[in-house]
Amino acid sequence: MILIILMLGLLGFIVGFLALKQRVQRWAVGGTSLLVLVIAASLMIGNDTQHWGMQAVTKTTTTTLQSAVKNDAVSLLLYAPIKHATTERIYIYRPMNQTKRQHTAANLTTHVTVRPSKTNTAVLTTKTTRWTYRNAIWRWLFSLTGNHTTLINRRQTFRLPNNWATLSVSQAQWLAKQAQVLKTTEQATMATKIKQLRTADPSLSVAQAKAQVEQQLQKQTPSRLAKLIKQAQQQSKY
Amino acid sequence: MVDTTGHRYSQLWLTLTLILGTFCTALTTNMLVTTYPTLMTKFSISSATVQWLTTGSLLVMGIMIPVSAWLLNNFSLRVIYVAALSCFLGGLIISYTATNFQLILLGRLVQALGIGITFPTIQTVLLVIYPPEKRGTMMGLGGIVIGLAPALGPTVSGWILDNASWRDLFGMMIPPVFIVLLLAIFTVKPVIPLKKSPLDAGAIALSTLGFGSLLYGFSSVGNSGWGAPIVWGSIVVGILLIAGFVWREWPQAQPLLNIRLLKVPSFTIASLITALANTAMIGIQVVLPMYLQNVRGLTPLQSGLMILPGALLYGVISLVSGRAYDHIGGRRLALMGMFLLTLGTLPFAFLTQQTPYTYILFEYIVLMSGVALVAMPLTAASSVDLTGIQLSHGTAINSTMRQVMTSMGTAILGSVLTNVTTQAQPAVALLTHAPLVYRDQLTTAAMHGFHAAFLVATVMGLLGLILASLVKKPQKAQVIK
Repeated sequence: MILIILMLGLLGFIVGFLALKQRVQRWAVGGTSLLVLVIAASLMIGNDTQHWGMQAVTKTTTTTLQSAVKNDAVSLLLYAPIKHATTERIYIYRPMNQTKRQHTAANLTTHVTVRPSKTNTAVLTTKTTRWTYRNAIWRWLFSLTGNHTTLINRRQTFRLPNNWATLSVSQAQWLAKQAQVLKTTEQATMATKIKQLRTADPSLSVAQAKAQVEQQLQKQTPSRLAKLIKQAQQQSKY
Repeated sequence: MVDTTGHRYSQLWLTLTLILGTFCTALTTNMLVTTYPTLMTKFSISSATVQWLTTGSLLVMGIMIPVSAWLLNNFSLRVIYVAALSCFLGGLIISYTATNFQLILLGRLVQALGIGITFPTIQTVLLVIYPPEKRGTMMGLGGIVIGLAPALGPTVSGWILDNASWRDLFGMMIPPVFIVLLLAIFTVKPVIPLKKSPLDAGAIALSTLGFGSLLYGFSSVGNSGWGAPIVWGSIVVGILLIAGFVWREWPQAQPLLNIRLLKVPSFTIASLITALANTAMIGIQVVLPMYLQNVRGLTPLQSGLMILPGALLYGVISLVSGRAYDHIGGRRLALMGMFLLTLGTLPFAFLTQQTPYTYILFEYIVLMSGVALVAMPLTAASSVDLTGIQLSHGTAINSTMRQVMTSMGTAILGSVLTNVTTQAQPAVALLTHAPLVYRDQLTTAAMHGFHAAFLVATVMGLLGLILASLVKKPQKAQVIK
């Protein structure tokens, strides 16, 4: 609408001052149009730079997350540093019931924080603040301009239970590799341990011995995993 | 109508031919900038080298325009115009078939030789063959092409580059120019009374070197900055040579360029106003696409399309304002136009990184309407107190003025943009450890630069508004017509 008003002002200004014969008519039409022109232009500048007629409105959405990579022992939230940035990064996450991973936006209007959580589901809360019109009149005035939902900022908070870890993409790759190595060594230890058990007590069947060994190993798993993740986090994030 | 040799000729066809010729030359002038990136990769040349396509032709034009008055008074119009168009056509063919950059440039310079003559010619001829009370209308008609070409050029060339090769930019102009050349042979008659004067070689040398040096200085500002010896050196040398030219020409009875016309207030004020309007317009046409492409990430074609509606409206309003001039005189048009120009430019000094495209498009329309109200009518107004041979000299003077001020203005806007941007730029070290903050600060710096440059353009508009208030009201007799 403001654009139509601007053009009407322009038209009135040109026609008024060029075509009308009497001085009074000229100033009545042309002068009024001049005023309309100036006001419309000022409103446009004000709306663009000072957001006249608009107010900040915040919307909150919450997404439940699953691990970004398949991992039986630990759930992961991944991030990738932007080029070689020290703090600037994007987070990569996977919403529940979705196979596709998503990532946070790489810009300064998006602020991301990662917090621990006492619950046992991981969630992402997104608070998006946008400029919207104060009321229908302002909205009508600035209709057709394409300026309706300017983003002010987006605050995203990941809340992660304690069985979750945050790793960079390359750290996660390191972890996967280590886990593979661990698995092979574990299988070797298991084989020797079963042998040892059965030499000590020949009455044990293979299955029974295996069960015992697995039980032992299971006990160590959490502390081993914690150590491994700590190691992963010490790897270079780039 | 009867020409100077007593033969009948058609004013309509003559006017049409001149307008078509000017349109072809003006369009080509404004098409090349978009090809620079293509040419740079194609011939592995630097941006400073490719700039010579603009700088070089600007120089040649700056050299030809002051001489145009002498040419028009000493040679038959048909000879001059056919020669100019042939030059232009030859230049097009050289560039079209060029196998290296040097040949493209050569072709371009030969084209500029023709353009430097066609531009002042159309203005002089329209002033000479139409009586004062019809000049505005005819100028308005001429204004359509002069205004349309700079705006259409980048759009057309953006589209051609997307769909064909850089060669076609020259190639597609060859057939129309050939047709106009044929037309010119039949329709252009010797309508300007000849007043032969000896060729003053010294004056030509002074004007050529003076204006050449001055324009070269201004066009080097973009790459070297005002502080570079080559820049201020050329400007100082240029000014000295032009001063020498003025000193030599002033007392002469038959000067190469009758600069005493500058003593006529109506001529000088009107010429300054058109030059200022042109400077602000061209300056914005240079800077605005930079904002649209660098900050907003539009393609050259898209940014060309953004300024297209304003340019089209310019054509329409130019017709109306030319006609209006014949009825109401220049003063009101000058005031209205400069007001609109200032009002249309001011919002650009407040652009943000999210300014809706519609705002830019419509503010540009306001700006161009202003220029359209001023440009052609005030060109006609500059001639109100001139007669006969003075018309061709007046045209040469205000064309030169426009040329010099436009390149000066573009240089000022460009250097304000660069200086302010560079000063506000973040340290490069930031790029490694915080690329997002770096990019943000870089854009903010660019925005400061754009704001400063557009503010300078607004000041030009205000200056024009002050000058416009000095334009005399038309006498009663003229109003009644």
